[in-house]
Amino acid sequence: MTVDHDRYADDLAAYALGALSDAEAEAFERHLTGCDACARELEQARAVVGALPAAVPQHRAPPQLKRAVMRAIARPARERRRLSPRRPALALAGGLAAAAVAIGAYGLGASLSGGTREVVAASIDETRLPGARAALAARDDLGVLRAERLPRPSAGQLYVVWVDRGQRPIYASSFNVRPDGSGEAGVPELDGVERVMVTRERSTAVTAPSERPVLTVEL
Amino acid sequence: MGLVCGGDARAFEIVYDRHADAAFSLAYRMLGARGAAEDVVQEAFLVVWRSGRSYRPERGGVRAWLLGIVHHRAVDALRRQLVHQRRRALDESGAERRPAAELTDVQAARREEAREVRSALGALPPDQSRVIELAYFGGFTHSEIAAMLNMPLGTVKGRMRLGLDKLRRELVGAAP
Repeated sequence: MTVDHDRYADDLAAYALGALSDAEAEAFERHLTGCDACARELEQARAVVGALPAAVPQHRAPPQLKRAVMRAIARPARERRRLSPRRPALALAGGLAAAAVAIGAYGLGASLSGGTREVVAASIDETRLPGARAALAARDDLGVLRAERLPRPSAGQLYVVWVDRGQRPIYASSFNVRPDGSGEAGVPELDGVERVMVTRERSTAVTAPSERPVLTVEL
Repeated sequence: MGLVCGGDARAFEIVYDRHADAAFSLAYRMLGARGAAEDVVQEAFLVVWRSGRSYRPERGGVRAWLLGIVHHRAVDALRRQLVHQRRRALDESGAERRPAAELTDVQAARREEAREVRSALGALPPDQSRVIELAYFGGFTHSEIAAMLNMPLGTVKGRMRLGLDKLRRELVGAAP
């Protein structure tokens, strides 16, 4: 354990700052489960990191932001997307389904960590994403799309997530591929969405998909 | 008594009013663009609303949680940007260009906390504060920082560790 601890001691601050790669962070987390010394030190480091936002110059949040937030929460629950209870959740091979709802470090993951949720597998265009797998984990109108074995898009490109409510696809979010071929993106508004799609784009400023979707989740 | 966020718009509004400025300020500091900062803050508050969590608005729990969500979302947004955009953001990150007219009347305690954290950051050797700011506010990984500053990976991690240790000592010493 001492050797292991020494090996990871220098990772601790970088981990607390969110500066490790995903693979490094996962390795550190594995070490953390068996190292009380690191767990204690990490708690202290996190308290320091948690104080950093206080150091930034303070601004007043724009009034229109409050109006937008309060408008969004005032929407009646019945307007929110309800995934059909008759459609069974799909169990995916290789633990992908579990992974899709276990993205604990982020806000979305936290909000998906309890209550009724559903995991829907994506249809993959095998010619362009050979061997890839993806699924959308959803709870009410909040979703996380997680994919594995993704090829890296061409230089300068990234994967863009679109939602289709029956008219035209609307930009939802985007993500990059990690070194291990995985990628994930939040899909914050599933209200009335019929399908979630992913294309490869050169910018997040795109207003319409430039290609046929490489993967599609039918809701 | 705790308030339940999801479903109680008035309780949620209290939380919003208490923490929106801090959330927006953090997002704006990281993203450098008002529109992008507003998007991140709105997403973060919607996560809070939908979580249905109980919270005590007078305590720091919801603030730390909210700012954590804002930080993660802002890092995601930064990492989605193309490399040249990030470089440009990096170049601008060294200087604060905030109009004085936008400064808010934050509560005295928050001002004091801010003063202490800024003071502690300012007391760090520049090579330590630089790597901490690049990582936390810039969303860069340690290997990206090493490449940018042309220094070994171990040096970057070591400076992060020394810097956080020193910050902790400074902040503990400043606590009443």
